[in-house]
Amino acid sequence: MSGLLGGADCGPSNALKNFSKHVDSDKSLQRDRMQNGMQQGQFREQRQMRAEDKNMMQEFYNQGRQQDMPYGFQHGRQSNASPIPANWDADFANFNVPMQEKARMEQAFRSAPRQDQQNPQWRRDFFEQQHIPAEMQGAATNSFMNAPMNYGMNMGGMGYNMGMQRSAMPMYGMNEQVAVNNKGKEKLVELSSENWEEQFKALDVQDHEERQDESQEPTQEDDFRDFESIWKDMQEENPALAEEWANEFDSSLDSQGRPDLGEYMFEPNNVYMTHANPFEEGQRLLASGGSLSEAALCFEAVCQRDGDDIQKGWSALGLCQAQNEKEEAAIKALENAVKLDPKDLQALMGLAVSYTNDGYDTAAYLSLERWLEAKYPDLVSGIQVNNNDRTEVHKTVTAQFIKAAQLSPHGAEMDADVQVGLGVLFYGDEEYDKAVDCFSAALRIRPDDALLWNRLGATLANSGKSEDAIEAYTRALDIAPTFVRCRYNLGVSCINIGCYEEAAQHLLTGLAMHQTQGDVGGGVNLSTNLWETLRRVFLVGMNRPDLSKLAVSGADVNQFRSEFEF
Amino acid sequence: MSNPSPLKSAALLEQMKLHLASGAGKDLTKKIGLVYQLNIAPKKIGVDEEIYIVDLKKGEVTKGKYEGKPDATFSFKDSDFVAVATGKMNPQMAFIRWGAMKIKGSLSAAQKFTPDIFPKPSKL
Repeated sequence: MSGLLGGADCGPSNALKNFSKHVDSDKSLQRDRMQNGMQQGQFREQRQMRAEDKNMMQEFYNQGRQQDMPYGFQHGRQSNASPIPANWDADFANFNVPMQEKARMEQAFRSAPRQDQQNPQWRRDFFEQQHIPAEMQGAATNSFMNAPMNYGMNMGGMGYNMGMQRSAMPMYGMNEQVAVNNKGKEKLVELSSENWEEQFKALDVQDHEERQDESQEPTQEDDFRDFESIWKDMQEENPALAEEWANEFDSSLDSQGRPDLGEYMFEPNNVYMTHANPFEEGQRLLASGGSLSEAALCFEAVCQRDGDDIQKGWSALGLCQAQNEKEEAAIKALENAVKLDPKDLQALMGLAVSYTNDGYDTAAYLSLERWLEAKYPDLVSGIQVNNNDRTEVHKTVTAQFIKAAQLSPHGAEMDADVQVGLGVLFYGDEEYDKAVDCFSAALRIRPDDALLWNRLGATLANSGKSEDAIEAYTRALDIAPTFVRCRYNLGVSCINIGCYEEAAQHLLTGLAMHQTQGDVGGGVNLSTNLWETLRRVFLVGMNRPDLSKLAVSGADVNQFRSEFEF
Repeated sequence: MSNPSPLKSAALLEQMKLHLASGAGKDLTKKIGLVYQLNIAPKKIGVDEEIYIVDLKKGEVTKGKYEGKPDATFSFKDSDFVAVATGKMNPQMAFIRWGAMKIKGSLSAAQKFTPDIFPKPSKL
């Protein structure tokens, strides 16, 4: 089994990591599954897909659109399917599959013993429940045996389905179905810590039986149980592997504390691909208060062409996506930018901010150190600190930034960016008052910087001063009305002071700005955060589960215009 | 201000405290009205745990054992709690993952302990 974990074949990221990536990120799941199918030649003879297959693919697609709904909000899935663009199957072909990674996975899985051989029942169940037509079963079974990678994919599929449809999760049962099922018969169950999983399972079975008649998708529950039994088998047979898998989340950071987020995903059908000068067009859009999503498309076009301005393209794209409240896309783009130019100050600062927002503290501090090294090379002590010690890294980098601030403490010579860096550092340590001082100092030098007003606002908001925060956000939006991140923040502050209608309006305004001429759904880089927050406003704040059901990633926000002004 | 606790969760729970004093926090206590105990360990569940009480009856977050019986008790590893509460880790994964989370108490109370009770972080 060790081959699966860390054999030389696995390369830097091990197979399980990739596996779980596919469990989490169902987009790659769909595309790998579909593309793999094509490569096996099984689809080639029947390019003209039968309606049934098409439905299945559509279902996968819909699921992909909802990937960011982790807390059991998903049960409206079937009835509220996201709009499918007419060219959805072309989209599949356009997804970039990192071939290198694929090869790596294939190799890794080849050396792994296959669970399916030990558990033929599971395989049968899988097909029964997925309603896979017989000839496709043949294809898939075939690849089960011959292409070990498919094993990973399909198992990922199980995990994925489980994630989407499981309703009786112990702690996240915001799912209505659960609520209904428990109404009137509040089960007070004492669970001992040793075997709660089993007890939950028993309860689950009970629940399942009770709602057999009302459940529309009875087979989905079984999917979960199959997965669970595999997982249990795995634990029994190979505790070391199970533990390794269990620790996957922690170990997925590199030595710099950075997550492996995969390749940047470009929007398909980008109209700016044929534009004469997309970089200039993007800059023009930014300067004129145009749509950030359109600007991002311009910069994506730059990055996809092999021009001289590719580094500038990644840098601008990353900063643009951060303002557009698409953090992961921003991080991926900015990492590409600093790979091409390790001294790109703006990209390094942007990375520090984005890593901070996503909770990758060490990565944020180290990005700031790189920034300082690029701008003030004499100041960096070069002391090696243990990157595993978050507080130690923070202390070292903060000390260096304070030295930089002391170089020009007064007036016009003050380096506003040093203050911003210090602000980010204090923010990371929850020293919000000091962070507010830093951002305010930077604002005295750059009073028209919308980003700074937003950073000031976010710091105030996180220290519980929602009213002051709203004032700062308003300043930012006066300067940059299309600043989606700031809309999001404003929405959050409105939630915090209990103004849910206003919160919904701001969030919807932000989401509407994600629509581009070609795509009402907001693109492949979805802002899961905005949708999630909107669902929370509807469900928790306004007590409107009907609206929350409609608020799925990739939905058309125009359907909310009858109730909200935005 | 700087947090003496080595746990990242401690900072998150500090935010929670502020959140409960806000308008949304008050709505939350009205809605849920239950008391949760969190046992959070730096590395391994059960080792060097810090105990926090998230009291959604009174709208308080306190450190140390609860006098009385909480409606549900969760045991987490520090990083897992942060990941789940901030929406980074799929809670379904927390459930199937080996030892990522343990629960004691009432199932219906446990089901109401969702990431939705935590404040949404604002973004720089």
